[in-house]
Amino acid sequence: MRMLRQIVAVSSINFRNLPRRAAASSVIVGSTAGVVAVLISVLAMGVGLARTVAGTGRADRAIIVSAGAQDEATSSIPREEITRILTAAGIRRAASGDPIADPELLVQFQVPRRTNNRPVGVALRGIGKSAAALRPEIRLIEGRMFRPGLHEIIVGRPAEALYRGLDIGDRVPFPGGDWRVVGVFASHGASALDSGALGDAETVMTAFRHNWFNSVTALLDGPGSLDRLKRALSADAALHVQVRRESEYFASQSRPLNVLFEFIGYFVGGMMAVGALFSALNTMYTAVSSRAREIATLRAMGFGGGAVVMSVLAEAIVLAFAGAIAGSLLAWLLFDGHVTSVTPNSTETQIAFALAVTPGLMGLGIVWAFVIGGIGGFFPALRAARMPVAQVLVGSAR
Amino acid sequence: MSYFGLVWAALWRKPLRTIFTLLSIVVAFMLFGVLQGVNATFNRLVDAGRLDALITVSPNGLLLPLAALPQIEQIPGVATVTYQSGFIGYFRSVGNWVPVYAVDPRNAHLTMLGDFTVPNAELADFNRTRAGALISARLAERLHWKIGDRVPVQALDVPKKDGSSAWTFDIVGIYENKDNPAGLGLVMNYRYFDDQRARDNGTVQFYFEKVADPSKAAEIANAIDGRFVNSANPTHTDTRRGYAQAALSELGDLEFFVDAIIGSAFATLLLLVGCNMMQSFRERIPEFAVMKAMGFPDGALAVLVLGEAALLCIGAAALGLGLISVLLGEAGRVSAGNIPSLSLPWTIVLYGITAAAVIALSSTLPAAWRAKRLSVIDALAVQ
Repeated sequence: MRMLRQIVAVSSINFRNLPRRAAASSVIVGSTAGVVAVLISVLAMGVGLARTVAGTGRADRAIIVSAGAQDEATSSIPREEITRILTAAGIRRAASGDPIADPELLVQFQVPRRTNNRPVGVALRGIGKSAAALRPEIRLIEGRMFRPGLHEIIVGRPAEALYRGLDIGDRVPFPGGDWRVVGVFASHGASALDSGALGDAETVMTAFRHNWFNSVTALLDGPGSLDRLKRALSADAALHVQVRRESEYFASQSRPLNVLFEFIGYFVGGMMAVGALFSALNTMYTAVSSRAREIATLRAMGFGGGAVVMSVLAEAIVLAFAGAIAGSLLAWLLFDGHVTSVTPNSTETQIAFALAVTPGLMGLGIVWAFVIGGIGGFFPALRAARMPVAQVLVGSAR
Repeated sequence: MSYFGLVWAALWRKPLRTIFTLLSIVVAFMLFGVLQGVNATFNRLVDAGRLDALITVSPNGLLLPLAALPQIEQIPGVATVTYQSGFIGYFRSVGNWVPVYAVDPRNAHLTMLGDFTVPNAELADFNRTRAGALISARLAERLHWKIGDRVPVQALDVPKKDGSSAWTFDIVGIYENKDNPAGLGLVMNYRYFDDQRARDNGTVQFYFEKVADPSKAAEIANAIDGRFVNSANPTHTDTRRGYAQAALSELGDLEFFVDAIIGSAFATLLLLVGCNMMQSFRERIPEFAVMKAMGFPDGALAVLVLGEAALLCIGAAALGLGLISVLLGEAGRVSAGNIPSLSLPWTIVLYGITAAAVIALSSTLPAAWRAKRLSVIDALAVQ
């Protein structure tokens, strides 16, 4: 109890004379803020990208791609296999008795990015007649739905915002003629579908002269029906396909995307943290040595070494904490929700996503700040506690 | 005692402080070196992209008809044209990836990216052998394949007419690609590929054109695309450099990120060095006063303070940049070409040293100014 009172007393003296050491103390705040801001912003890109890709999948849907395919782009399912897949057990049926499942195809087209006018590849997904029941998260927010048979597409909200020439009424050159943008949609929650355009599968297939589909997306009948579907599909010798729960499929697609951002974030953030640690050590050693007389006086008055150690440590941690708050706020204000797009792989299409500065990332920034402040304060604190009291007092009196 | 001696002695007055400041600056400049080195490497790759080589693809990721070949050949300015198709396959198990390139055997050289070498005898065998394959040295090493081997490659999404997806090749040669030593690759005859595949017959993925006059590359690219603009198969043609630039812009605003990170690191250094110099100056006010009383001119004291900061910052920056260029070289050596060789160009080193000097001088100006204006009487009275 006495120890605690001493710590509070010494710490309050420290904090009250902080303004006199404002410039030196701001080094710890500033350098920690830099570390945390960079760490959080880079990781927020990875989190946002992964969240968008993973959000595309739902647990109540299954995706069927050809055996051995790594993703939808490398998958191809011939038309003759489609009917056999659609009638398989485990797929939910509408009141009419039709399965709520559609063969879909994926093609790409090029549009210039608004920021630098460079052409980038954007996905066009051909969807089928069950789309409304199959993908209820898609909401038309402007214009109207495309009409099957006509050369019409609807585009995702972020795609419209990021790329030139995708506003309602714009004409997009596809093979065999121009197509018209007739509507803008947005998914409820993050989804990679919003990065591109949607059109009628059969019409897209004709225009792009495809004779196969990329995947079949199916609404599952209920819990346990994924296994029934799996059994049904593998029992059919005419089929060469694999089925996965859609949420798991997109989660696994999102994983490698995050790795690059994590590497950059931890590498650059780590290097900056080492630099910040040295400046924290420096600042706290200076603080201790400039207050040598004061600390020696406190010790002479009977304050324990532990109290001095704790007070120096507390000061370093509080300063680093303030830096972490400033850095997190900066990253959050500048980047949270900021929409950008990348092509994760040169053969794929663009994915538009919003940076996500999550509480988890902010927490991580605060943990890093505690480590910087803790180590940066610990060694100077030890020195402060071990200071030869008599010598310091005599030396200063001389 | 020389001025340098004075500066040196002042620097080591508080060794711990100097060492920590030094380390902070070293780390900041190592970061600067890595980020600028990566940036410079990407820009170098773009500059190395050839201007006389064009690539034609479908803007929709579709296949192009082989029938377009004679039409491209007729476009004025196009010296030679060749084409490429292919697939991703694997050997025995998924993970042993084998990228397969189907090329016109007569022009095998042209289709390969960069500096591609293969012994003439092996190239002749490749032209003669229907199921012949040239493999990259790296692939040969990785899958323990050698000339004379007959190997099956399982295609991911290119079925054959016989219903299987297993392609059999006779390895006739091994090529080196100096520009991409880590590249895996198997080069096969387009004729064999097109005869055997079940679908998409008579199509290619790319056309590669070589132009006689690189200064006309953009015009020729436009002429090619113009030839097919209203056809069922529109094209998109650009120089290799153009594609490299597009790939770089895909990384997002790399330069913005590099500048923002370096900017925040340098701003912190400015604060750190400035505070340290001010602190160190305050501790030495009596010394400066004595020196002034001994006859050191005002300017000399300011120079001493500035010189101390400059020596510390520039020395630490040089140390950091030196360390990182050694590390980058080591990383390139250890990865044996898996990452593009990173290096620090002289301009970046110079830029770093200049930045260090600017940081040292601008952060120390207040302390130097006070050293210059120091009044001997007041300073000694402080005692």
